[in-house]
Amino acid sequence: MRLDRRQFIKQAAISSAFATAGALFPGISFGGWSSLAQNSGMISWQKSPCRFCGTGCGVLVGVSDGRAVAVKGDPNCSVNKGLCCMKGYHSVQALYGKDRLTKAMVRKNGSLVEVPIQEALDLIAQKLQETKDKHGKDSVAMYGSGQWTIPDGYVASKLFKGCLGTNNVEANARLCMASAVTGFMTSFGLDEPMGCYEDIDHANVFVTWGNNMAEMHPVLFSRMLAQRKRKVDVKIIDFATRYTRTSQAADKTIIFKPQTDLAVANAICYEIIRNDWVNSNFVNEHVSFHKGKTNIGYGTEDHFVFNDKAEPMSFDDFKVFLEDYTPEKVEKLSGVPAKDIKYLASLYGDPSVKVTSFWCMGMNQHTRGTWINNLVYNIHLLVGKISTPGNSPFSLTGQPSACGTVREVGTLTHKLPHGVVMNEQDREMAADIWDVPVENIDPKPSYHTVEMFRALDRGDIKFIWIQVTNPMVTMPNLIRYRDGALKDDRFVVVSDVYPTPTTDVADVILPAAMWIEQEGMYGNSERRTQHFAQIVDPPGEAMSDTWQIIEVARRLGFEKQFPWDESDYIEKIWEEYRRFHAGPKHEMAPYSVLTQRSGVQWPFVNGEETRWRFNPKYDPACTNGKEYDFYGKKDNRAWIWARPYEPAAESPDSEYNFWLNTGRVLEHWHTGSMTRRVPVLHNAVPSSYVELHPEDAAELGVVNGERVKIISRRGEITMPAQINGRGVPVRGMVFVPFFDESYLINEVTLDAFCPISKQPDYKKCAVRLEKA
Amino acid sequence: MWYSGVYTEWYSSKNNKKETMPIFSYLAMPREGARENLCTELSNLEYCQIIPAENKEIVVLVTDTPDEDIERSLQLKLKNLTSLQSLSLAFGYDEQD
Repeated sequence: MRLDRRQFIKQAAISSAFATAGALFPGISFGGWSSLAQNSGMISWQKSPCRFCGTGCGVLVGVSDGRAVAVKGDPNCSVNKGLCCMKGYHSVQALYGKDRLTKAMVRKNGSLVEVPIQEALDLIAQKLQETKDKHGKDSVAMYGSGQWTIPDGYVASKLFKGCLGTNNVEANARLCMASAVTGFMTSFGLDEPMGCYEDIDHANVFVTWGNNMAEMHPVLFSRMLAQRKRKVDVKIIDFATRYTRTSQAADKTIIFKPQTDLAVANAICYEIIRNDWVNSNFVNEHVSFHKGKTNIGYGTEDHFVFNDKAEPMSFDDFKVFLEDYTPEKVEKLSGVPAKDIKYLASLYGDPSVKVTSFWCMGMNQHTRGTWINNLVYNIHLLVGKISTPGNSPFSLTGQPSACGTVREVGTLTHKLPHGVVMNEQDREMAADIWDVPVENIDPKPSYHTVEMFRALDRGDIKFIWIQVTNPMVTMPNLIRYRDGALKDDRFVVVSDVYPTPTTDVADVILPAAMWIEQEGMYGNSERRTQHFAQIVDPPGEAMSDTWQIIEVARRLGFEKQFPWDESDYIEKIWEEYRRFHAGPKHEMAPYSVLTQRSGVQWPFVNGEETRWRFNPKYDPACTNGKEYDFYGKKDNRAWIWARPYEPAAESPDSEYNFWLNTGRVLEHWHTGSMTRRVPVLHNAVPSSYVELHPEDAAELGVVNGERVKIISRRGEITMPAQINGRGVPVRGMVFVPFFDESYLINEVTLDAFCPISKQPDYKKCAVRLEKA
Repeated sequence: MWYSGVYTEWYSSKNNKKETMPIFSYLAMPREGARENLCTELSNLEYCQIIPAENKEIVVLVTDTPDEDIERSLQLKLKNLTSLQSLSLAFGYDEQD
């Protein structure tokens, strides 16, 4: 044992040296370490991406006696260079909660009873087939997740879109990054960021747009702080609607009224043009100007339909459009002093300053989410600060594979692994690779997420299979959708790792393998695909979500499309999926490369990863011979959009006089179904609360911990007050984290969404408060 | 006990003979063009383990000596390596303390 202990200390010595080297020499790699670490004799270490957020930190999971017992940051992973956040360090404990689902359950006479998993899979196949035969192909649906592995999402799409012929495939990433997708598609014609995390090592100014990175992306925030410490001229500007831990660390916080980020972004563009800070060469060569429809609605009614229409406009037309957005006019609307708007514009406009803008849910969960994404791109495009190291408009994702599984595999109703269902060539490619008749793939999208749950409520959908997500906590206007799921002739299948409010409404529960209990891949925010091997065994009869779908597909007669063996199905699925992305614009690394590295960025061309797209110095897909090539659009240009300010779907009034803003906390992952089973994380933040401004609390007559009733037009909830806690809202706003299933704040929220992206706005609705 | 200073600071502060020696890790930087030589020379030293970086001119050196005399002797040998430009301590852990 003495020898083992020495070796363990030696491992710590090596890790420490790697961490030091990583801090001094960003990007440094020690390829030989993994094999060395295997020989420690105490704990064997294997690489994996972290289970939780979209940052995609590389971790090393320590295994002893078949159990995951430790986690450390992977110094070979350029994302986090050996660092983790508190969720990452405690992540393996989430595997071992006492109430882990280990057996399948079927509801019989109103009660859930354990059954062998094969019996449950038989029942699912039977119900799915019966429902399809009786009510049509669009009466069955699959609702997945940005926490699905890439193979999970791929086989779900193949089964439902390719074999069953319905486009009823959606994922919870619709709730978190659909506006980012439509923002990219409308501005660039291609999804996902052009930059990468290495931008952090080059930027002088960081602007966080409604983004509490200190809690939501703590490792990237640490990299920003390290950059500021290393260099003398680095600033962090926190542009927000409430004071957070990001505000505490920022050089300046600028508070705006909810929804008015649209106006402020336009005012920044106005100032850039007024001061002649436009990069004219870049704009003339690489940008075109467009406008779309206005007064586009909020989608609060069933069957809401909206299709935007782009019309070209000139730079002069764009200047005229911006005349409504002088800093002085926007100050009145947004509450942001004109001098602060001019200051922001001066940062973007200074050609000697490299600016990276970060955003996440604040801009995406927004009834004009697509527009505000467009507007931030407008700013970067006007000054030509894009696709070069340090100059990056950077949309962060919240889930580990929102990009990899949902955006790249295309597990949304309108998408295919390559392209969209509406495009004949894309359907032909999918049919060819999937070995199904092309007629199987319906050219018409069906239901986006909110409409999918409305269809379940109406009875248009009667069978739904939910995997790796917890919609009975996360759907806005939740009461309607829970009541819908509970209706008599609905059949709900839920695959999960722990009991949740969603398993409570299930007719069948399948126990799922979690994270490193299966092999898989995630794709993070910076186009990085990250493979992980099966490191430990799943408990009981728990089975990977991929294999659950394969089992059902075979029962439905699709053995030919799902022929794989359990020993190598992930490799086979990956290599089939990779065919969809062949070519320099999206080439994915082969399986053999993925297994060796701590993530590989696509496009992966001739053995090289692409760090900055649209720039021929880094991107082999650029072919126009110019300084930039925005090859996603047919005119080979990035599009600047004239998008106006329009108000929120619901704003405070005399009856409901507060804004309600919802979100997350550092310690908990989304609905808390995993992190609340980790004692350290649970004890750090054991229950949810409502943040109030101290003066609002005083007027209401409540002190810390006293209970406050929050009432909206849809529901009400009573919960303890937090005053001057980690976050402090402005007067007239309250904030509630959604991680705690004991306080279902989404019974209060509104199911309004961006008409282009169909992503709901969880940040803005009107409530009133009462002392309980 | 964890150290962030250099080895000599630690060593000069110790008066008693130690039963268990600390393990140290360092970042070793070669002189220009001498990376391969440095790796060879360090590999040839007893009680040394090296992990060269794949993409930078940096070598991680881990030392694990059995007693103070050998530690002192190793330090001397390291000091005299012609291929070595600098050595920075990254980690030191003394189980006895």
